[in-house]
Amino acid sequence: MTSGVAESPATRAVPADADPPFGDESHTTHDHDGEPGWASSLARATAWALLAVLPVHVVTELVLRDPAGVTAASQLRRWDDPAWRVLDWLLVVIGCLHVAAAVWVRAQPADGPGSKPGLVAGLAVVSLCVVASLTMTMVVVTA
Amino acid sequence: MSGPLGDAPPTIATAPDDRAAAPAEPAGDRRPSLGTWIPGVGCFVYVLAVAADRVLFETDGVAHTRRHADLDHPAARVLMATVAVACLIHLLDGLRRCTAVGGAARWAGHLEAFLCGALGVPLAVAVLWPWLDGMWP
Repeated sequence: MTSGVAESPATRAVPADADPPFGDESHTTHDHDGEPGWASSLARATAWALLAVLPVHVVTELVLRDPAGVTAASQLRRWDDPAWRVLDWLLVVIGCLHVAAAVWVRAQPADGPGSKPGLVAGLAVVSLCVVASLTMTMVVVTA
Repeated sequence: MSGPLGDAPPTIATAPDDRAAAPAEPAGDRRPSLGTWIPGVGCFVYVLAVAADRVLFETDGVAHTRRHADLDHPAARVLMATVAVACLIHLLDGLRRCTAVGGAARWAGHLEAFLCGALGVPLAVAVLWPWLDGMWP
């Protein structure tokens, strides 16, 4: 004998390994007191920093000068100013931190299902390589 | 269960509903959506391109100059304009999600849409301008 309650969609069990939607924030990591975790705070802080850095970079790189007319000499003149070197470095570092933190928050749910450790690890490795390469480049150019 | 009145309808489920016990969502839609993730990927591509460009500049200046000369192609300019607009959309979306609270949520959404058009179109035209300017004498 079957029960109507047992077969109803409202009580159907969700498989434990079902992935939640990637943009769904309802399963994001939080501390025990309900406050957003360190990754959420980092993503938000880097977002505010990017709000200042990214527009300056996009406008100066893509609007105020023609990217097709950039040469090694003109780039060298730009990097003669330490402020531009710092701006370039900050954009890449803050951007990578923001991406890594945001993906960590969405892909590392506190309740287990839907965890995407491969995505987070791959992104972390790419970000580290990019930041390290740019930092080495800046050290060489500065020296 | 089959009885004199037929099968029980599924709407009489008595299982506890976890959603009823969940805390209320904060006012305003702060959740990231596809409109957040897709432009975000565009921004990340821009950041990676900047890093690769700077590394290439240090390792091979001639190749760096040649790569930039390749950006004169119309397809490259359209790609750059797309990435620039994606950055703008991502910034405005993040700003809306951080500031939209209570009754201001609807107006923040309208303001975001307005700014996307008011800033995005001039931005795209500015990036495409060297190409557009050369289309007619």
